[in-house]
Amino acid sequence: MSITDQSTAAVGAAPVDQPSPHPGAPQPGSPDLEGWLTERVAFHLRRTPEEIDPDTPLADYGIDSVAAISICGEIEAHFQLAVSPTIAYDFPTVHAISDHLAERLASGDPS
Amino acid sequence: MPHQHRTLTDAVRAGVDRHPERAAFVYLHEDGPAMRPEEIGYAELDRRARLVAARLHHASKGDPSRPVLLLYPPTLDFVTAFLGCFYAGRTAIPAPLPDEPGERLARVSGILRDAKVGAVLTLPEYRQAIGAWLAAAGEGDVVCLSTGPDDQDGADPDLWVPPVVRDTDVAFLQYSSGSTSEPKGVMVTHANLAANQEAIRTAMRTPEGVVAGSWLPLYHDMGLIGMTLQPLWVGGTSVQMSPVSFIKQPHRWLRMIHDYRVEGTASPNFGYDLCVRRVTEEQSAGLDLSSLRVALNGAEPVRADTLRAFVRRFAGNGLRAESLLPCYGLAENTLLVSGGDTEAPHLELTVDAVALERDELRPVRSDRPARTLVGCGRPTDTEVLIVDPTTRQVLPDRRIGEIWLRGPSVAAGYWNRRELTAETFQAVTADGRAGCFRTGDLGALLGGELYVTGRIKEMLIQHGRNLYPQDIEQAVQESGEVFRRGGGAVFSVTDEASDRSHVVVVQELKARAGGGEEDLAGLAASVQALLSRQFQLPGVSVVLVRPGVIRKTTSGKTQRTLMRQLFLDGALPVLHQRLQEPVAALLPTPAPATEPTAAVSSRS
Repeated sequence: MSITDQSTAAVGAAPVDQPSPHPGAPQPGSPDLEGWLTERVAFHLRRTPEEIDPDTPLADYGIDSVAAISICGEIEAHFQLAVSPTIAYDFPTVHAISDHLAERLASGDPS
Repeated sequence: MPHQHRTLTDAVRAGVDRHPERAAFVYLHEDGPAMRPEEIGYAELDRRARLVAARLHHASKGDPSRPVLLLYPPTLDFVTAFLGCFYAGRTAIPAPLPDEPGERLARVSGILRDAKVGAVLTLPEYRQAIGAWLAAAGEGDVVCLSTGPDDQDGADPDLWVPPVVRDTDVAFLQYSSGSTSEPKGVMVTHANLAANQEAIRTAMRTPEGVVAGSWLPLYHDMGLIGMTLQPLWVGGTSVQMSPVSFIKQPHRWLRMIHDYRVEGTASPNFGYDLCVRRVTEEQSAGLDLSSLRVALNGAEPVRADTLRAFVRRFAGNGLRAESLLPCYGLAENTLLVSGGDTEAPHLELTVDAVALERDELRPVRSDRPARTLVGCGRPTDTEVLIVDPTTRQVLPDRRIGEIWLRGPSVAAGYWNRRELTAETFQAVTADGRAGCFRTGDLGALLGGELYVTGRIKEMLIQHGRNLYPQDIEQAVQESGEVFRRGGGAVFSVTDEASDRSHVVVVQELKARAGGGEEDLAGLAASVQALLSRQFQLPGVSVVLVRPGVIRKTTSGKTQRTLMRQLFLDGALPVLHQRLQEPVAALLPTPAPATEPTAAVSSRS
């Protein structure tokens, strides 16, 4: 149970989730988006991109809270899109995160 | 001495007299990729603090000796409310806003129960939710007040009367130690705060009007005492941002130093590492870090290679090697215990690793492995004794023992815990030195320099956060019928390659619990999911075992150190395990037929 109604951006004065129109937004399952994300996730987990399987939970690679927030920050900067600091917990695999991002980028849906 | 204030109130009032318009506090809010500053000057800070004090005075029913819990997001409203408690002569409790389920809510609920608070202060938008939370916790009589720039509500700042406070009055309770289930509030008196502020000022040679800045949480000792109150103590300016803002984009910290000509900052070791790893050449181009005189490194073990890498990476931006100061401190000593010299490089000591394991600092031998320790500086106003924790004998230079402290910065004890206070704050050495605080940390002195080498207690330190194994064990056991109560052991293991520590949960299943491999895999996954939600600990390794595997002492205490050893020796009879790769790599190589190479392995 949470005592406030701020379910996202709970820590700090993070901005609210707002869509940001992204020209040429990748489609769900887009190799560009997933490739970029795999590379960044690998960096934060101190591995090579080849070691990251898109359907293996990031938890199995030993992700910690600093890596999770770092990945959030990279996504925000790369797509100019505000995302929840818990995105890597809410969508636990590379595949799940990139599908979620592709959907948001395509539709401009702030959810 | 020009800054010898008796209380924080005196310090801020002096600032109002001398420079009412100078910025006292600046908070940087995330605004897209940029940071938006919110600023408050000395006169306005003073006015709002008087307003808070008047409201507290006005609205308080009952006992004014009961403390005031501050529940704020990280903003300057927290600072005005904290100061308002000083202005009202009330004991403040800084705490995070419990706006997430899980560990943080549990922690604040624990504080509420332990402290017997008389009032809660928060922002108007949280008042209703917090009122409901108080009622649900059976604390409906606790008054909940909101503060904010627009919150008039009849209170008049001009009616404020300076409180009469004694040096021995408790200024605030610092709940940074103790487990979630059993939080401990460190009683910091006005005299403690004044002593430690002076100790910091002297050790760091803090000039009048200093600009200090960091991304540390405001409710923790390093962010509060060191980075917020020290600048206020000397009429300076504190610039802060949230840890999340920093971790998302580490260059924001360096940009803050550049933009505000920050002279003093602080971070646990991992913050410096993050900058080296993540700040790009493009981001650091044009940054001027030459204003930085003091960059404290504390709250987790200080690594020599981190210090070197940080200096190498940012020397081109005007960073001076002498500005990096390893330090040692803790809430029970208000904050600072020891710190390096601001005019000299930090000390490193390479010692014989074998002797180190036998609790002694010895010169390196060519035939044995070596380890490099980073000196945490010289003790400030605090007397540091190295004591054998069993015999209580004070040990000579070079010998490793428990770090014991005496002096004016040592807090008055734990709130409402007479017995624990007597045990930890009133320890006596074998030769009769009384009134010592036992830190639970291990270290040695050599030529006046303090080297911190480890911890006695079985606490888990993850990125500067202290986690208690019993909290995690309890959460796991409460999450499902199948987990045996009291049948868990949580510990951390470190992989040498990355020097990172990983949490391992060993949990017994009830005897009746049958189920195939698939059910066991589901249970292990559910434990992982639970801990990432409740403790922000994603990716723990989980080992499920039969009843009776967890070793206990005759008095029923879980032997976590022994369980850790059995785990590392591969000596646990495992029903099922789900290990992170770096953890699996630490175990003895099993027979190839039974061990798949994947991260998730399973044995029966």
